[in-house]
Amino acid sequence: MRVITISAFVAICGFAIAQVGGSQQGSEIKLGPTVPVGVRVSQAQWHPNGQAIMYTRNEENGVGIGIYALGQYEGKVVLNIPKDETYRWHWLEGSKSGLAVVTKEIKDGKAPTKQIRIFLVEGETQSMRQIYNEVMDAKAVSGVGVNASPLLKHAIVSFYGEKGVKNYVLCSGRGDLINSLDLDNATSKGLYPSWSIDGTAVFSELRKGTARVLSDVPITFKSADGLSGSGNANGGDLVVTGVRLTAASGTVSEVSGPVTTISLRASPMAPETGSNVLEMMPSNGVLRPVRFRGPFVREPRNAQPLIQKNQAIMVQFDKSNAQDNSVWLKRGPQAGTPATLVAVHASDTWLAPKENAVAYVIDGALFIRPILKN
Amino acid sequence: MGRSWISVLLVCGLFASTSALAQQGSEIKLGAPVSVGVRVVKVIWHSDGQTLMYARQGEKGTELGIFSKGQFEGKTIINLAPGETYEWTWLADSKSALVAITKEIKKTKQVRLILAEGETQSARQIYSETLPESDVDWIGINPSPLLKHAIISINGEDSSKTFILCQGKSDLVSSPQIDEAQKKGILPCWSVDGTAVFSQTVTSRPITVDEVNSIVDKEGKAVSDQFKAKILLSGVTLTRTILTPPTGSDVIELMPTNAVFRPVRFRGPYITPTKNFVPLNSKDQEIVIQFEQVTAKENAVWLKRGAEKGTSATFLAVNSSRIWVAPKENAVAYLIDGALFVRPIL
Repeated sequence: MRVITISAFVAICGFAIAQVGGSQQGSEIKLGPTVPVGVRVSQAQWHPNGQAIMYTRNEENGVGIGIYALGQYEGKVVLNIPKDETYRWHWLEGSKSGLAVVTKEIKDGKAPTKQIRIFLVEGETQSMRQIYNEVMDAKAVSGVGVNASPLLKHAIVSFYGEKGVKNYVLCSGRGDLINSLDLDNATSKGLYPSWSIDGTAVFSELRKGTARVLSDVPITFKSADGLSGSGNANGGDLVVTGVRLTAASGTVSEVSGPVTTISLRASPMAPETGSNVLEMMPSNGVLRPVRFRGPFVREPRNAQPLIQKNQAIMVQFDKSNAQDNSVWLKRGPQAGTPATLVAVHASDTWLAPKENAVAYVIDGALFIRPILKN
Repeated sequence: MGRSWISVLLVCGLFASTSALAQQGSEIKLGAPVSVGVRVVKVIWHSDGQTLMYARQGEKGTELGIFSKGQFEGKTIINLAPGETYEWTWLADSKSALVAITKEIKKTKQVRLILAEGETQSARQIYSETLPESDVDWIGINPSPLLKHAIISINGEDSSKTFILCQGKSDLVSSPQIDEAQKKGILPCWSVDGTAVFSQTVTSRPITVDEVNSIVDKEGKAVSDQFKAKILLSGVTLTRTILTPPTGSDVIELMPTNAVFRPVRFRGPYITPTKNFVPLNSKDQEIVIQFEQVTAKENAVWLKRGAEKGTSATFLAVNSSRIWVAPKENAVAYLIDGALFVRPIL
């Protein structure tokens, strides 16, 4: 498949500095009570809507994937990934759910095979359900791509292999993964999906030479295939111009900029509004001809983004002293504006994309504090 | 209520140790913290400081977890149903404990005994019975101070049922002999070998500081309701009535492996060893943290040996609400916003 998918999750210190909105500059940031979510946590990733967070924790035999939605009592590990398996996580919007694609390479003397399992993880119920499990010739599948709707609990799951691409659809509502022959036909005819204003996938011919890179933060990037670009998206979709996408797929190997966790995805430019396209019905994966109602465009953030600041502290008792680290949140980069202490001794911090909560780890324990609206 | 052959104590506040001051002010080194569990409200260390139990407030009620040094994390092993109360008693020579769980159901009481194993982070129910309310006034668990062995009694207004947890086994053995002995006023005490002996001839001895420490927390409150306390306080010397026959006298010994009685000469009472180090104290200190022009107040907790000012202290954590130093001072457990951490004391 020639739909270009680049994704990466990068966690580095500091949050995005947006170029817009100064109205909230300096306003006080109020944090709600702390919720301890889980222990042995190594990584966390917020849902784009900031209502749920997935976290990975180190376990004796591998990695545990946990999920927690705001308001829940605590986190819950819903999936255990043994050491000899790898996983990729994809959030589904229009829900608090995610897809975990778990791959295991099996080399038992015969031809190498791959076991691919896909789990639908439900944040609402802190549960998971296996929706796909197949062992196949390792050459038959080189990778699995998940192209999730930006509005619905709905995604296209594509298996790339020597013999082409096999597509499945995660149907909205049911949460089942079904093989879509319509989708296979469309892609074999050179049609490519992009997301409509309604969150449905529409198929049209590729407008070659340009691509859209989806990101919610300003970035510069460079792919392993030599793909590079930069720009400021003001929190919305980042349209990278002057970049010719030649790679069929790639992995971002280098990201710079004041970003938190980001997900990059390059996809073809959407067709022109009003043009004839094939729309995939999200409930059953069937294509139908419609006039394109327009592309989905992520709303730019219009608030002054929160930024995280680390500050070393010295504590003293009698003649003894010790150093530690304090983490603060403040709105806007200007010195002297109000800041709020989040925690002392936090090693990692993740701010929810909608700035409605902050997650942090202290000695392996994951905590979440809601950020209250002024 | 039935007679209490269990150690009986009343404690009035803290006491000052008179043991060696040599370690006063010596540096306290802490190992790496381990995050054990979340939503934790209470911790009880095993006397060996290798294992702790914790109670956490689960969404559906209280849960009991266990963690041993070297383990990856804590694990919930008992979920208490609404209305159930528990009593946790550590067993010596193991990382195990007996947990007595009771629940009132109309005019009856359901009694469950659970053997909690710290080594395997597992629990097994070894007794369950629903008895008339008048038959369950209190449950006494009298653990051997040296062996994985205990005498358990379910005491009612006019009745007593006794069971033995035999060493090396994990089942309870009923012991009507002990019931009979107790009716005759023959009460057990623990020998120097960790075995229970029964004799009508008893003496008393002073209580040791460590014995007090083992059953009260730093505020002087009893950490276990099973101890119906009676303490004689004279200056800083605490004494209790302890029932021990004279060494060399004829006694009946309960064989810990099979709960059978045999006559022996008493080899002497078990006495809790005295600590020969200056106790660790936790000290709270309010700190002001500044970022640009903004300040915030937090609480820093330090560990310090002895009470002298100016001696070295070790920083433990900020924003810790509770601290539990292991009895052997080989580890410290503390809470930060409901998450339990354990750090070894090196």
